[in-house]
Amino acid sequence: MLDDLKLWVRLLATAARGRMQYRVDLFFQILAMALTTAADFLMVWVLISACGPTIGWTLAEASLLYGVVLVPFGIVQFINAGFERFHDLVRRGQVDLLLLRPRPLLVLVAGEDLPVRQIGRLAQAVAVFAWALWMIPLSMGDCLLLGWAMAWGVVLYLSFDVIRAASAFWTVEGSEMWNVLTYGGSMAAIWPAEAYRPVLRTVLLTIVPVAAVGWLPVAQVLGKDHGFPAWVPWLAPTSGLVLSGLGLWLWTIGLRRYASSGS
Amino acid sequence: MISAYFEPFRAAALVEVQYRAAALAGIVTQFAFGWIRMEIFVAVLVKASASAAAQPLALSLRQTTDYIWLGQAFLMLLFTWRVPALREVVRSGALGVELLRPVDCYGFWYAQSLARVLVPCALRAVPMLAICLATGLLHPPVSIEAGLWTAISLAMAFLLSTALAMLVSTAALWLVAGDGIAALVPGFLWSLSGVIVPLAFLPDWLRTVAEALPFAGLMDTPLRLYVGAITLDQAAGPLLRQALWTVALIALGWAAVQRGLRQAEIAGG
Repeated sequence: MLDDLKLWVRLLATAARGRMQYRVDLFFQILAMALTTAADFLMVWVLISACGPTIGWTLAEASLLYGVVLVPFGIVQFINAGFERFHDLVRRGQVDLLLLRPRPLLVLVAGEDLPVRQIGRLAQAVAVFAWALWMIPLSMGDCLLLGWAMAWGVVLYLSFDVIRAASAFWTVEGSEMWNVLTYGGSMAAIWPAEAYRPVLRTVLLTIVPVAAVGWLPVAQVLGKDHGFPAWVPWLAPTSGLVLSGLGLWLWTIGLRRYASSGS
Repeated sequence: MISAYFEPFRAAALVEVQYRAAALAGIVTQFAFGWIRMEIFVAVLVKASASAAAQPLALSLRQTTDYIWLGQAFLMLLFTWRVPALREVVRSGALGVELLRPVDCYGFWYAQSLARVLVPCALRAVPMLAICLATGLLHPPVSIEAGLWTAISLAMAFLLSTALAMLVSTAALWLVAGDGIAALVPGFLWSLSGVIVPLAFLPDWLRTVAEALPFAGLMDTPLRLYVGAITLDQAAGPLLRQALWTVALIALGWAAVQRGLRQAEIAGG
């Protein structure tokens, strides 16, 4: 286990070195990624300033939610890109090569890539989050709850990636549909879920529980009415556990039936 | 002479038509994103218009949801990085063959690129529009004239998108700062074309900036015409801006290709 962890870090370091060969390029790529992903914050900012107090969340409060959702998402996008490319690896028959190595495939795929440009996504989320923390006074318990939720956020988004990758064992078609789970999920999660109509809110609390790890704890911390007993926001983030279990199970049975692309 | 440019268009279009499974996946994805975007805006606008201290909204609820669904249908207008024709040509050394053709290189590539922008976008947009109209998610254009002008503006958006994509991919190859510019364009494009937030909702100063840039012509202009947020007597300005940017970007792209071709060295192999 520890060995695998070491290997994973080593693989990522190697991938990063490869990515950093073109410095100027890289700088602009990071900047571009920050710009592109900051468009989501533009939406939050514009909607709150255009429609004012009717929403019930101030810009600082919405920024706190933004950070709690997108910092974990940014971390996962940064360290877990190998899974996003897994469909391609299957299609090109490169999984066969990885399988020859006497290490768990999961570790090898996780260490496949470290897209340094994703620092841009993470940086803008961290900046917004830091501003929100500076604006909103939080107690020790509040910070604990947010930290707890964000740790589970990482688990949740990791699970999405594993599920997405595992689907490649059945079909390599239409891998972009999984963007709905990852990018779509995080986009839906940055807006306060109490504003949504029941169908979407229920989906976001159960099937794609991004609101359970984002909105519920943040609403609790800010003293908003989320309609659940006070212990629920502590328990809800662990729903990531269910999805990571599902992800690992799918991965295992998928790998067992994997029969190469035959190329 | 026309057929010298129509043939590359047709050939590239025939290739693109093959990717129907990708189009289906794209439609499902774009519907899901449209749904999420719609929910966010509905949540905000319903509350904002119901409150006592309601300020008048920049776009009504119906205009906003129409705008969002149209934006999702034509999302691929913004995928300018999908036109790698020039990179491929130069990197593979096929440039030598391209130069032998007795036609203008830019025109030839433009025709190819236009097909690569138009066909995948249409493969997604046509079914999406049909479903959205049939289910009432999207309303028909406010008037026949508005529909007509939207069509013209959309046609221009395709020409503009192609010109922008080509300029970016050319600049990336041949200008010193080109790589940086090429990387940054999608960032601006995403924020300032209207796809994330309809430009009408932006604060005045930012909206003025956004409308002056070419990105508004890719999406915001046709969409606002469709939903009637620009009345037809106000339409001349935005349409003219769209046309000017199209011409300007084509001219710039042509100049960049000419300059690049003068410098190009063709390696054997």
